[in-house]
Amino acid sequence: MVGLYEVHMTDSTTMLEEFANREYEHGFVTDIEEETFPPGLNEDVVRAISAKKSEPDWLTQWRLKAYRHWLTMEEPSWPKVHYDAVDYQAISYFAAPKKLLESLDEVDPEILETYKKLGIPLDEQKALAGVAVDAVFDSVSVATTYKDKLAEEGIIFCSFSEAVQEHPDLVRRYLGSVVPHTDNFFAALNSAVFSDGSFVYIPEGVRCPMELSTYFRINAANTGQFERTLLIADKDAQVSYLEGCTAPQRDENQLHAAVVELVALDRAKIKYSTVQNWYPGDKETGKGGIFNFVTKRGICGEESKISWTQVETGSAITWKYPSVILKGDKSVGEFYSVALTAGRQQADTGTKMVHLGKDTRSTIISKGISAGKGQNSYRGLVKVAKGADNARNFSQCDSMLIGSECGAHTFPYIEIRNPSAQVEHEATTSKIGEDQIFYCNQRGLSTEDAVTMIVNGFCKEVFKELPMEFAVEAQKLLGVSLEGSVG
Amino acid sequence: MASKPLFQPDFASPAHPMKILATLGSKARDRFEELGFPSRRDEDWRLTSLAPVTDHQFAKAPEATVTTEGWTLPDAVIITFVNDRVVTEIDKGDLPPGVTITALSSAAATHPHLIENHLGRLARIDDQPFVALNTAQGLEGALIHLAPGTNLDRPLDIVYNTTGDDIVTYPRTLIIAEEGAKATVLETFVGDGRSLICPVTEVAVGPNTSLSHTRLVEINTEGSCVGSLSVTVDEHATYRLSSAALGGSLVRADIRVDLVGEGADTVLDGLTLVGGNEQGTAHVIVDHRVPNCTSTQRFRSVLDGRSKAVFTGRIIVAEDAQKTDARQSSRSLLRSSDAVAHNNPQLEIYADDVRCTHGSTVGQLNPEALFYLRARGIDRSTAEGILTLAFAAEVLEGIPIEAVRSRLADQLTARLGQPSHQFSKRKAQDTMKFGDLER
Repeated sequence: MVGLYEVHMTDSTTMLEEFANREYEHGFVTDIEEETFPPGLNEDVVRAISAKKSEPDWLTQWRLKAYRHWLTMEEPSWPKVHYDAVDYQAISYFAAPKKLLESLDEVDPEILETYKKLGIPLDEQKALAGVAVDAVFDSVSVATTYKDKLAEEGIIFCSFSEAVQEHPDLVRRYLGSVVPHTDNFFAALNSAVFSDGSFVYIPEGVRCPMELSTYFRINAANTGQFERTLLIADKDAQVSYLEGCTAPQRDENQLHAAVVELVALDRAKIKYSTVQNWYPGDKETGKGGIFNFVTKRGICGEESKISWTQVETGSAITWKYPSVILKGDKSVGEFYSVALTAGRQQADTGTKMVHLGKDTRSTIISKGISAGKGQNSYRGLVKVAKGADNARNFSQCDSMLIGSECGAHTFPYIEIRNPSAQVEHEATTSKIGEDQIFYCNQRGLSTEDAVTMIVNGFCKEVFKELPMEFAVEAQKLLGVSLEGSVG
Repeated sequence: MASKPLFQPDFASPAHPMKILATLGSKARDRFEELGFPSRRDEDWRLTSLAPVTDHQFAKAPEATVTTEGWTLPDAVIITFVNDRVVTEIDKGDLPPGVTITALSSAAATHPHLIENHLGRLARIDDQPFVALNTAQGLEGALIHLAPGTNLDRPLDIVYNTTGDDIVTYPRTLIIAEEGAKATVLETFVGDGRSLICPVTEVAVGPNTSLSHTRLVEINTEGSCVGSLSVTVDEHATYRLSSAALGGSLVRADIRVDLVGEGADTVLDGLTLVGGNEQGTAHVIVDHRVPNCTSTQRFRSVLDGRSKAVFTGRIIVAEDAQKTDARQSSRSLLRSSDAVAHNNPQLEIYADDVRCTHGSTVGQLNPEALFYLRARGIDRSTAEGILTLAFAAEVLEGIPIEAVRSRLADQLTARLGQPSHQFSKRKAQDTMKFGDLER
């Protein structure tokens, strides 16, 4: 454990070379039969998606309401990202592996093979230290493990579709309670056409015995993926949730508009970690990368805590602001982020901390790394409402530039309506100092090793918040940024 | 979108004597008619309520004389305008050779080349509706030209008075400081009624030049001032700005400083004090276009009542602007539970070898400091006043002209509501080492 956060020089040098020379390694396409709707979106498509999943009428109506609202909205243009307009009628809104599966044995061997390439073989997952995986392959969850063990504790961890069938009351009560269908353009779209996702319910007083994890993988060309995740931690419950993604190489842009809703009731604790490594597009042209337009938000009851940790290394365009509404008194919100843009990647990411309750606290630590021709923006809001006495916020946004063609931008918004608030924001932008490199060189470290070490050190505050498996993966993923920075 | 604004600017101004001014004016009018007043959908104006401007009919200011003699800087070169008309011209004999200070209206005849080469070059009508509005009007104001190497040893005081109710004025200042020049300029916008002032100031700071600029907005709580200031700073030149606004229904300054020559340096200070239902906004852009420039921004706002203060400060570092050192700090002091402070510091950086920092804090007076003072027999409101002055001190101390500094400190004390008899200035000095307040 101790060695985990230290940089192993030989390893990292190999890693450097590996990453510098590699093509996107997860860029393969699995050939399996898929049932896919023809491209286009209208009320019939929304109904058809709902019918396909045998959803109750209220949910169909909810989707339609969202769809009708979406029609009235405009795609936001304020993020500091540039991309060709998305033709929403050219996207297919449903793709599912044809057969519904009842057990792991029935899983298509090709899918299992895909997971093997990704390093998460399903049949070995029980061996993976205490991690239950709900693997989402395209839009339908195909396999879920560890369910029985979780069921003993009364924990529900299943696909969203399953939850709609088996726990309709919970879904109905909380769906859209944190991110309403009117929230923003992409959330409205997701609400209308969401395909599947994960559903988690931790009962009152239960501390989830293992880390819950979902691996996403986008497949099937031209299919936007619209996950919907709903996580509820009842009073005094605790859970740590992991989300990680990889995607196959594609030439056409793939739209991804997910919605994640977290509900932490009184004294509950939710830790939500993400490592995102979708296909970032061609290194030179930026072509083919994923568009990642995500709405993530949590709401806190009294004395509860929601902590977001994210390592964003993939996607051509990232537009993502995991937020916390600190509604209950003494609640705590945290946001730890490492965002990396290399090649032609663009990211506009940050968080919103909305202080409504008294004595609420929030911490924002954001590390942006720009390399190649990447453009990286931090955009965040800290809002202290009138009744939020003694609210505290500390924000730190550091940017590191590697190379002279990239950009790092910071747009924090601070809105304070209560004089007892204490809000601090700091931001710095820097490059790796020549003196730092020189210092390392003097001590016999190669420049490459020095850069690896400095970048990892730069991100350390965020990495230490990640669960162990993710911390390892995150350090490896960051290696990509080091390409071309040495010399 | 709100209904049609009540304020419909009057563009029926007399034709400018110079063709270039006439062309500029009509182009700006067309542009304003295209743009209209900014709406809250525009990111730069999202946090500004323009109601004090648009919900009111303002007429063009009639000729007038100021009833009460305003404050002017002692021992200074003074040029005064009342309601867009020049009233005190400068005696040329008073000025060192190479220094021109005149009204734009007369400069059209005497210095046509200066106007042709500089007016309207820095203030952008393309995306700034209020600049377009100003440019479309009479284009009256002060022209200051410093020939290479000239040194204006006395401070220059430009006073724009707006007197009367329901009127609008459009002051316009053009300052051209050529290579190696040196000057200290005070620009004051004074309003005594329910009026609107839309000033535009353009400043070109030449190579190796040092320009110190203080910009004061002194209007009453019913008046509004929506102004813009555009500056270019050339190589190894220094531009210092101290900007202060004490109240006003809506006081907004859009400040843009472009560092265009290597080694240029700028320091921008701002103080906003608002109470009641007032709104104060500073919208600052510092654009580092070339390598080796430095910039410092210090903005402070003090809020009482139900007021709102907005600071948006953007630092842009262009692709080749290596070795940039840019700093920014914005702090807001909330003295009431109904006030709202917005701080939006922004960094936009395209070069890798740079040092950019910004810091922003919002909070109330430190209860421990307050307790310390009260334990020494100082009543609450006086103690709050002292601490608030201390909060503003960093900006006040940056003001280069002693007389302005102490006047502002006095105004601040008055606005804070306790001229405080029992509290001696001696004590303040001891407690806070704030000697500059001593007069």
